[in-house]
Amino acid sequence: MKRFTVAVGLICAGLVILAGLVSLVWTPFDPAQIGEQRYAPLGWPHLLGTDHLGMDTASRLMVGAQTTIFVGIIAVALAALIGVPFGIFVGMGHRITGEIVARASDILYALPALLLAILLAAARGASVTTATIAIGIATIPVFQRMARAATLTVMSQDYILAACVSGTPKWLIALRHVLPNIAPLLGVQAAASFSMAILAEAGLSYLGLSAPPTTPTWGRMLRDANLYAAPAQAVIPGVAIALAVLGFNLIGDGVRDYLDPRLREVR
Amino acid sequence: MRSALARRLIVFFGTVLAASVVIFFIIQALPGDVALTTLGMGASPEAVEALRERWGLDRPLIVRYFEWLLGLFHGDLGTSYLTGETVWSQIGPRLAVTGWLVGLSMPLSALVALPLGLVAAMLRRRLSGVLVNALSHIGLAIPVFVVGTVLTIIFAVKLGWLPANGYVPIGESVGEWARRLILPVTTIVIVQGCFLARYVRAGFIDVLTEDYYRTARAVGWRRWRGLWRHGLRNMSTSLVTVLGLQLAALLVGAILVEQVFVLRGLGSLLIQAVKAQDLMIVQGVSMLLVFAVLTVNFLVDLAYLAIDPRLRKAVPR
Amino acid sequence: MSVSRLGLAAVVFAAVSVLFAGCTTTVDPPESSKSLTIGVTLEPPTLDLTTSDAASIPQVLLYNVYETLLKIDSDGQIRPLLASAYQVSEDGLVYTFELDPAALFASGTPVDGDAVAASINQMREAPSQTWRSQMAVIADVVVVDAQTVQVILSQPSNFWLYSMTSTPGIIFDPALTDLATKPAGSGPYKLKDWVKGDQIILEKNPNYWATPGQFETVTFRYIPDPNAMVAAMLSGDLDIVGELTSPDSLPQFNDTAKYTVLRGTTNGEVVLGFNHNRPALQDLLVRQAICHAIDRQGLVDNVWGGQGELIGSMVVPTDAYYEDLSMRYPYDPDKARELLAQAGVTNLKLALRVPADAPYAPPAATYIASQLAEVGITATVEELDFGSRWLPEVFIDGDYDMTIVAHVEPRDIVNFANPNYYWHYDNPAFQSLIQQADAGPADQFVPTMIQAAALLADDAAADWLFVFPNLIVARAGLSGIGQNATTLSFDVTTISAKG
Repeated sequence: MKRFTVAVGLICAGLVILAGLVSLVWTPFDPAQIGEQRYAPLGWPHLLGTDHLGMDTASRLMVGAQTTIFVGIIAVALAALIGVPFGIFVGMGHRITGEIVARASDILYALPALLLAILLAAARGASVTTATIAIGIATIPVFQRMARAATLTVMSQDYILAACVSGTPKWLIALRHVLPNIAPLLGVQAAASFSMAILAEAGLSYLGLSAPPTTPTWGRMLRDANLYAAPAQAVIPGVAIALAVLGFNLIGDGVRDYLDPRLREVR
Repeated sequence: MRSALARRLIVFFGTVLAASVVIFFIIQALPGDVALTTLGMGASPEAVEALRERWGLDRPLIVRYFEWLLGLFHGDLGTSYLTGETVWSQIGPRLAVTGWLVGLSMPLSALVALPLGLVAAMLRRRLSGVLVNALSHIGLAIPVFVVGTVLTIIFAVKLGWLPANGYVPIGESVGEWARRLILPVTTIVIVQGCFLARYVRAGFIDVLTEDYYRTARAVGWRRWRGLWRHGLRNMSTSLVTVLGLQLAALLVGAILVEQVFVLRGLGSLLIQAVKAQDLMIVQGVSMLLVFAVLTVNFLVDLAYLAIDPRLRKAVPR
Repeated sequence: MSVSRLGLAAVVFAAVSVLFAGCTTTVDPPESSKSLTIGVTLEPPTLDLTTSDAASIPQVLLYNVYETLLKIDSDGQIRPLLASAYQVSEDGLVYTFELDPAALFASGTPVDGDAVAASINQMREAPSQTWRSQMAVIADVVVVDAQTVQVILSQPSNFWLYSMTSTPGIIFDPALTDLATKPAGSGPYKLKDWVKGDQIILEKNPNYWATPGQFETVTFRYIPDPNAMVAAMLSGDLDIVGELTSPDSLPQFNDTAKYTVLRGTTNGEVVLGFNHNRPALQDLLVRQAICHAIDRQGLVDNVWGGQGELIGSMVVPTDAYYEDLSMRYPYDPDKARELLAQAGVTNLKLALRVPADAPYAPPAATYIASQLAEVGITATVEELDFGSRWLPEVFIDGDYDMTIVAHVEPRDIVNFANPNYYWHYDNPAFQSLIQQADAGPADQFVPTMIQAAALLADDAAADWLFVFPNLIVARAGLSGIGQNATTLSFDVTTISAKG
């Protein structure tokens, strides 16, 4: 059963990645080419039809996959690269600095992600990059808290105490003992955050806070679609988003269950 | 105890103060200018200057910050440049919309999630449980605005049972208020229900592996009953915590649903104010939200402090 | 036991849903003859129209709440409103307005000479440059008596009288203190409530001095999302879609038994503006080449569902001086390439910086960029937020090569005579024509303006893409909606319900 879900997840995510990779070298049509026929039906030569400007939907969907992957990777990387070191740092117990980092994280946590996105879009112009950075920043506290909690658990282990007593520098302990131990947990969090980032970017696109008009991203395609003139043009990017999110969610779940022996036992 | 409390209070106020600095200066650093945006294509450099002067925007940033901060101490969030109305008066009606929307959806989501999660956990090796689990996965993957749009097309446009969008205050007409909230609330319940159902499922599965549950089974309790009794108790605290977190996130996060159903809540106020460059509103709303979340954190902290004496020793979180 | 409890929960939930659904039958539909609900897209940022020239303010307030001395009807003719008559002196410098003795503000006080003079003077000092410049020709305002006001101009001006029919000519109630939120005028409706972000509700003015409004309340609901607008109309929530921004949705309203669709024109010229400060664009041949390179009919078909007339100059079909100049530069890429070669221009690169929030601009820019590429011009499209970037960078600082904006003010052709305006178009011949048309005898106004418009087209001062269509959907049974929007007002004073 578990294998089946992970397989489904891998297939969904794999499709998205494959589409994005292929689009780097080949798409059926030029995704930015305004065509002759608007709202062409699904079929040949436009497999998924054309949109309100006569652009080929299949091509745009493929190029959009690049953005989706980009958003996920950058947002998660940003959040993890800043959140995890701070989390470990706080978790290893630095009194005053730890307190300051924790409070800063509190403020960041209290700022709604949407507010960050609005502000960044206002400052730098709405684009996929600003949306991704906003999502990434908003996810920092998630990683920070998770890393701190995991570090606290690791730090209470005897061998760490031994390392501390033997005078091993803290950064070395962090690198050699803490990080490897909390890595699997972070991996699970990364998969979950990856799909959250994709969903969040789609939402920001819908609000006009991400990709500018006519940019081939899934969220933007959804926003630009006319539900009444051509419902298919709204359904297609919607399904694509759902598949990507579902894929990474299932992978994350599968990995977590694999890591959590209690869950395996019942199965 | 007292010193721990005092320390926490100082930290709390320090954090709020720091937040006010961060919010004010980030927002003021945004490009654009309310005077220019308001004048639009009727702008000329002199006209912009005159309007900035009228609104007091020509004074130094630091002066305006302390003025704003002073107002905050009195609970005054400032005054909109554009309309001259207080930020509070603009927030009030918006908060009512978002409040009803979120306040109705959260309990309903929990109500839906509990049985779904239970079924998914209990029957997880049978088809029905797998199906429920798969459904909640799928529900979670579909963007909330897509769910809302689909509901609108089915129930408002095709069937004509409900209005497509808009809001009527409860004081004006209870029936109309309810009719207009059904679709948006249902939208949130579907998505949040799926989200919570997965928590509930995981929680119940946890219980299945606990010793006391096995004991209960051994003494002959029926599966469902044991799970419901012990599981629910076990679940409720973590569920409430998750609900609380989601509640805070939804205050602004409900904007996607508000957008689909043309409801004017807090999130849309923010977006509108940024577009119009009415920074007083942006600042005011941001500060209010951050203050609310920090206060909740603080109170939770205090609650733990009261419950668990070990925490009274100062330990960084 | 537990299973049945689960079942119970399901039943309760179902019952609750049924209960809610049951409400549909118990709530009466709004009484159609009493109230009118109009869906429009953009909410005014403020109601202070002396400060902001946002078209969304007069859309609600002009003619409905505020009145002017004279008004423009939907055929473009000047009609009396608060002034029952006016005379112009021989030299065209003194306008004498006779106020209608019956005219009352909604507050009940009469519209007298003092109120008129105060309003005109307020507009002369308005923060907005748009109104200030239109009223700059006024030398003095004299209150002759309670019923008579004289306006003395520093030079004759045919444009000025037109200006007096729209926002700059509005007469405010002297008791009005808060322009931004509590407008008060003499129109058949007055402001009842402004639910910020959602709607503006007008109610019937019981003191109205002429034919009263037909509805107890008129609600302008703000629905920016085109799909939501269509949904609201289809579900019967709106009486009128005041501006349909998704022309592709028109087929949804084909059922004539339920809907009336009006297709008219507006004053909104969608302009591909050139920055005449840029050396490349100072070359007439290059500008003409660009005009030849763009298939405007194809653009309208693609970008705006084929709705919208082609023009060819800064004049719309409802202007008295309109002439069809749309074929001045027919779509001809070969000709465009030839002109570019003649100009000796190769490898031309232009920055096409457009406002991101205008629904027509980004797709039109994409379309234009792909067509310019065909003739060897590289146009880089950049989408800018209107308020925070387009206004400061393009409009004020002139940092652009080309841009696309709909200019919605009536008679805004005069902007081409202002070399400081963001196009920086500086053509003395055109400026003197506009000057002549304005200051010359009234009967020479139209012929001179026709000349001016033709000169503008010959000079390819810009590329006029199309006129924004006035697309209105109304439920069947409503009459009196203006086919063409000759002013910025969504004039509800003439609308009535048959049943």
